[in-house]
Amino acid sequence: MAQDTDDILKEVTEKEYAYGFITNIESDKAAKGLNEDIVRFISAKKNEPEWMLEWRLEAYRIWQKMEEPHWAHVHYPKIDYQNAYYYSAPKKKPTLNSLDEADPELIETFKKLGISMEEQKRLVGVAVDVVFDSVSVKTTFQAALKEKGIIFCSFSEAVHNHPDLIKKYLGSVVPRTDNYFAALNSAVFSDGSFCYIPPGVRCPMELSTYFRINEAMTGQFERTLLIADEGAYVSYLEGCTAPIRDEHQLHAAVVELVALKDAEIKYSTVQNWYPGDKDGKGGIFNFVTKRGLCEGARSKISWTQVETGRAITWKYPSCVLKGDYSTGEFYSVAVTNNRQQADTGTKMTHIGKGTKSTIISKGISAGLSNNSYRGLVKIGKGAKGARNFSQCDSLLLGDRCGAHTFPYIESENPTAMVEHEATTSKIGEDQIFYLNQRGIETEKAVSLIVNGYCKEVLNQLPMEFAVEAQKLLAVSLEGSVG
Amino acid sequence: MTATTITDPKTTVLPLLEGSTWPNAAEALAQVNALPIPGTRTEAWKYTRVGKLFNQNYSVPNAAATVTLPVRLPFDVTRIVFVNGHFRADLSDDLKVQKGLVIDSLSKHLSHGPVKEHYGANAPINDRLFTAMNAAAPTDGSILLVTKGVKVEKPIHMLHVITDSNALIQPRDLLMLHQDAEAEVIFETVGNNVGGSLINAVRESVLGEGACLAIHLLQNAADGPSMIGLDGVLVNAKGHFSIDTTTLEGSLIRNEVHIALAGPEAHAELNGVYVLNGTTHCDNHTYIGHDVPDCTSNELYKGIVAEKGTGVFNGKVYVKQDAQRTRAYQSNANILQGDDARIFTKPELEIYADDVKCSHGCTIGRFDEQGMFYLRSRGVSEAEAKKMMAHAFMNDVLERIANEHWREHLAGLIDTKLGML
Repeated sequence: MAQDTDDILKEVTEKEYAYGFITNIESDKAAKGLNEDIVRFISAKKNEPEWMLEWRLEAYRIWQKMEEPHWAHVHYPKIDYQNAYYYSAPKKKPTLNSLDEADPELIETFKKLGISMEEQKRLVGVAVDVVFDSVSVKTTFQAALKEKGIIFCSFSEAVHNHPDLIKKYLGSVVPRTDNYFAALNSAVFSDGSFCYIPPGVRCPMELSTYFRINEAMTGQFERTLLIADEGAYVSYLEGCTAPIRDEHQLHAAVVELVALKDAEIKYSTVQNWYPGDKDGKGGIFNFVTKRGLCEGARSKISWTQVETGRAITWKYPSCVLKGDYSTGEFYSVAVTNNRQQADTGTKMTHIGKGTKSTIISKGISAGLSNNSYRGLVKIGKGAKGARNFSQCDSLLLGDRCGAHTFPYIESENPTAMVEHEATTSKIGEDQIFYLNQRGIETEKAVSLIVNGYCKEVLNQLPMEFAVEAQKLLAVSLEGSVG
Repeated sequence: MTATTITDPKTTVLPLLEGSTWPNAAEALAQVNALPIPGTRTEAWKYTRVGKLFNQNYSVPNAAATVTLPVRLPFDVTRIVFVNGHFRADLSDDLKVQKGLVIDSLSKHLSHGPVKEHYGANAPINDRLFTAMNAAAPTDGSILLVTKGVKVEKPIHMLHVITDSNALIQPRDLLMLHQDAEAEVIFETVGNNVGGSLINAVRESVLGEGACLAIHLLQNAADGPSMIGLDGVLVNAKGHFSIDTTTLEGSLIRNEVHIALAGPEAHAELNGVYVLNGTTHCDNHTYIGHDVPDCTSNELYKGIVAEKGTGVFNGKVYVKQDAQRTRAYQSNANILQGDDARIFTKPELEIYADDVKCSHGCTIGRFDEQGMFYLRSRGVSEAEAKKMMAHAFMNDVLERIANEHWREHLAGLIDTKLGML
């Protein structure tokens, strides 16, 4: 059986990226490097108003004074920020009204990804805001959403059409001074999604964005701002893939969520960026700042993520629980293989009374990868009766990978209850034996066990996504190495 | 440009560290000069601010002070007394307790082979300011050497008496157990009106194959001094090391335990209890390195933090590549009492081998309401009920201490302390 396991491990570790293909679409690129002129160029390209440019320039100045953080448990060659393109947009006409107008090559790309728009359209209740190399080229289902008063558009459109909302909320959850990568993003963000759900409206469909990094040597800096007004509900899906590129690609996104009184936001991510080949060549560097603010009483923000791609991850979707009795949730499955490195987790900051948070994190490491959970649970002085439960489990496949847990727990309120538990182990021989004995071959057995291990998180995903996530898990660990 | 004079905040202690003749003292002093005072941005000291320790002046009191010793422990021990860090033969029991056992002042044995071999080996000075400070000018401390197969019959009670306030005392101990040797040592610090004093201790323990060492640490000096301590431990194959730390009084307390499990089937057991009130700050910082396969470790720290106390726990279990079949368990439970009490806890796992079973857990909360209700409904007063609950809470840790006499002694001290909350 040991031989079997070895074969399976080998098969998995040597598996190449199935989504590696390059779509050749003519790109409209900014010059290499980063300076105030590039920031101005990006802003001008997008016809932005003066206040937006000022906001970017201020962010750029803040960024210049900051130092790149190195506390995460990841190692990567020094990033040369002057050796990257900060803007690239497909050189196509800016607006498309139907799929037929879209670049056939682009459509082909989506087909390969298994998210062909035709199919997507047929899926009931999924509206897609497609971000292709930083510029939103297609927004579907907008009419249906408009009827309900929901605004769902690209960030650049929102800057023009809803400046009040942008001015009010942009940077309110993740300020420009928050961290190095957030400042960088604030200066050069190219596009992203904007969503506003008016009071009392339950968004009738799952909103979705597909991020895809295509152009070589381009950093992708998208920015998402999602506001659920009082009593509103929205479920938002984000998926990402990137084709094979030899150079490491930088991705520094910012996602801001605001939930007002009684509002609920469900944010799900399935991320399958190119992780680099088995020797650690290429792959995406992912430095993302995601944060949700439960502003109003009884509001709720829930993050669910399935992470199988990227070379380096530095990502902590967080919740600031400001409103009384607000709830924060974090469900995560992070798979690392080959030489991938992930340092991911969450931060739950309890400020309001009776706030509640749940953290379920499942890490799976294989090959030569390193997978770290890093989390913070902070109970402020005023968070009377706050409650937190955290569970972080790690599964190790192979004796050359690493699994690490760095939880920070801080409590300043005697009425709060905080629980944290973590375990690290490999799949038990007895478990595999049990399944073997019942006629299930080792490969299937491991896949069964892994699926069971991740079930708590996968159950949180919307149905269409759950199917894709399971597929991704299977691909990432194909040959049924759990 | 404004010209600002930057004075090294360490100038309050630097003059006191000069001129020592201990091994590598000069090198260590250079390190003291080179290393910055750890601040909140230093990960290992994130929750424990030590800057204020350098804001005052210290004196180095001598050994000659007349002292009244506390009553002996209620069970038979060999008592060794140190006054202001200096060994006092006149106050200590006979050192020739048993054949194959050396207990003495460490300063007398610095030129001996085993001391030369092990001194400083498990307490590197390169990255920890307080270790460098200690190594630059150790006051004195004990040497314990137990030869092959010798089992020390009576526990050894190392009693440190402090007589001055604002004193800087740097105890330095070296415990060496040869193959299959066994020993049990109690370290206790007492003193009256010793506020403002800083006790910066470094203790190194080396366990030979199959050796067994138990260290009991009691921090219960009223009007507490600040205590920064490091235990550097090396456990060889089949060795068994255990340490229990009980913190009841003190100003700023930092107990660091750094264990290297260097031979197969080595085992480490760490237990800690803390009951904090006033403004006591207690930081238990542990590191267990599973460097080879088949080692086990077990860690349990529990505490009650009241008034303006702060409890910190930072435990790290590190499993090296190929350290297969490691079993490591770590647990920290806290009860917060009082609106200004704070808890910071950070149990970490860093694992590079796959055939392991490691877990950690931690909780922060208050007394179980159902339990309280049960007791109250049976006519138990609230104060008494709380005490009973606290006693039960702490008992999990005490139960793991093998020496029943010590266990009972601790239980008594803890109950007294709980009565003060």
